[in-house]
Amino acid sequence: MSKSKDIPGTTSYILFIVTAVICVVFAITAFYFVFPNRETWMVGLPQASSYAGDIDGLFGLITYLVGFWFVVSEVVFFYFIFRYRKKTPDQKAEYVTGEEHHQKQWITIPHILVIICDVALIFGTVYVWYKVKQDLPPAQATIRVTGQQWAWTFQHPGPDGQLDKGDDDIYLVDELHLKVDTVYHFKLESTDVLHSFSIPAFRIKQDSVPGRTITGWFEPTLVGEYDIQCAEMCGIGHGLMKGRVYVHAENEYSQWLKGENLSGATAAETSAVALGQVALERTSP
Amino acid sequence: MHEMKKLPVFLWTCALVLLAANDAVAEGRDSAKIYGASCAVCHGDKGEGKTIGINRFPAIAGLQKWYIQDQLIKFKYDGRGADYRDKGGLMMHAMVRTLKPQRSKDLEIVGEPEIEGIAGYISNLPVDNSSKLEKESDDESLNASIERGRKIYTAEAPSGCVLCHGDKFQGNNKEDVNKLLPRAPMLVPLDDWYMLEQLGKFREGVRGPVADTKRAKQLLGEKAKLKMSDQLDGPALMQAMSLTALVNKQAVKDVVAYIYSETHPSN
Repeated sequence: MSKSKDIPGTTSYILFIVTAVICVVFAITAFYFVFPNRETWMVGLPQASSYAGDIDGLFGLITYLVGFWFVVSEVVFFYFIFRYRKKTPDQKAEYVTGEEHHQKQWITIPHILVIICDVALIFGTVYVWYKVKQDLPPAQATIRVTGQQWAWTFQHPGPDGQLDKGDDDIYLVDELHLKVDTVYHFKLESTDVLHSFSIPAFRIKQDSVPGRTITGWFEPTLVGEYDIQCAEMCGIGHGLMKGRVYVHAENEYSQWLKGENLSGATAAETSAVALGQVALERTSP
Repeated sequence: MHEMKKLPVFLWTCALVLLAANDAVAEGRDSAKIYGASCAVCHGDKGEGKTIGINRFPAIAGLQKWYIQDQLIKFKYDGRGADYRDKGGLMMHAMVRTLKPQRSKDLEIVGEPEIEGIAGYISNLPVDNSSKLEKESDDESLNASIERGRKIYTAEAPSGCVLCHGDKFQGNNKEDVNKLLPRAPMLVPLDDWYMLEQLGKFREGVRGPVADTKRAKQLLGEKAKLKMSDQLDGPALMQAMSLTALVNKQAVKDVVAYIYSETHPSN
């Protein structure tokens, strides 16, 4: 009899300890990854644009506030389970209506505190939304991004630095080349269905809509090579609609620009050579 | 308590069985199943071609194995479908990535067995042109002269299409370096709209020779590894032909009208 009396108390005690340990391990792990290096804030994902830090800051604010309330509520929850566990074999659960003032306080006080936190989140959200989506800083260069099933076409300005002027614009599929610390405007279009232009390292994600040209901006701040992906279901090949963005230092960008202009001429030249070869060799006796 | 001890053993056994099954599936995927999962949606269950919304997908059933294999490898390694003007090609450029390469222990690509398998499967699908009840591009073929097209197609060297594609539109499976005749695909299963579209792409430089670019070198490197390197650059010659034998857009329509009238007599 005395053994069965001990079991409920022991189980809840173990449960409480296990939960507490899990919470502590989770918190230590999260802080271990968060604080040492802000550049790899999200599982090794660098902050490669001027507003990536703002997006991450907002993300962090939400995580910490919600995480705080999660931990508090779980601690209180498990404390109550432990505190009011079954202590005698014939003890029955008591129904609490929650009408007493001291009982209501368990709802109203956290409620007010959570609303205060919500206001903080709204302020943070509006600030970031305005900076990323509403404010359009003057462009130093403009690119055109066109989504189609299942590829991205990028129209880069040529050596003249102007889009749609002259015939020096550079068109590439699934490959975007940018100069670091340059404010880019992008003209986002779609030729068929809804797509979403997403560069996780820049913390940018913008839908492209057929028939519309959507203007947005970003400023790459970190030299490197990052993923581009489609973030809107667009057909059977959606998962294969990916590309790469190359952020170059200024001198590297100039070299790339020269290289693209040189290789652009060779297709026509090769064709002309083949043309001459056929005519000559097939007609030779 | 005794039963409880068995539980981890049971769970580990299940996990190992599932892992082994997964590996078996990954190593030997059946070509028919790959076709059904990746290709049939657009090209049809029998490779007969399809129209979905504004997109038209060509018939591919019965094309030569070497040709399908060659094109799939080009799509995969940017030799085709990497031009922003090639709308249909860009789709294939993405979809071909579902076909997994064979890798060495160092994760280098050493072969494309799934491409080879699927090419064999498609080449064995029967050509059935009778199922096409009407032409899909009457408006584009309008005013085309089958007789003028016949003259262009059957012209003598150096420009006649017949030299490579054959008098029965059967293609050419063996290149002749001396006569400068590359391997060429059969034209029998091809739709008229598709031929019009592709000839336009050859003429505009969207398809054609692989230029001396970084991508082209990669492609040639991969092709050499796959032992698929022809001596003659067929697409380069095809582009040359599309610009010389077919002097203008009318000539393109004429030759397509002729080919289609011969390969699809019921239409």
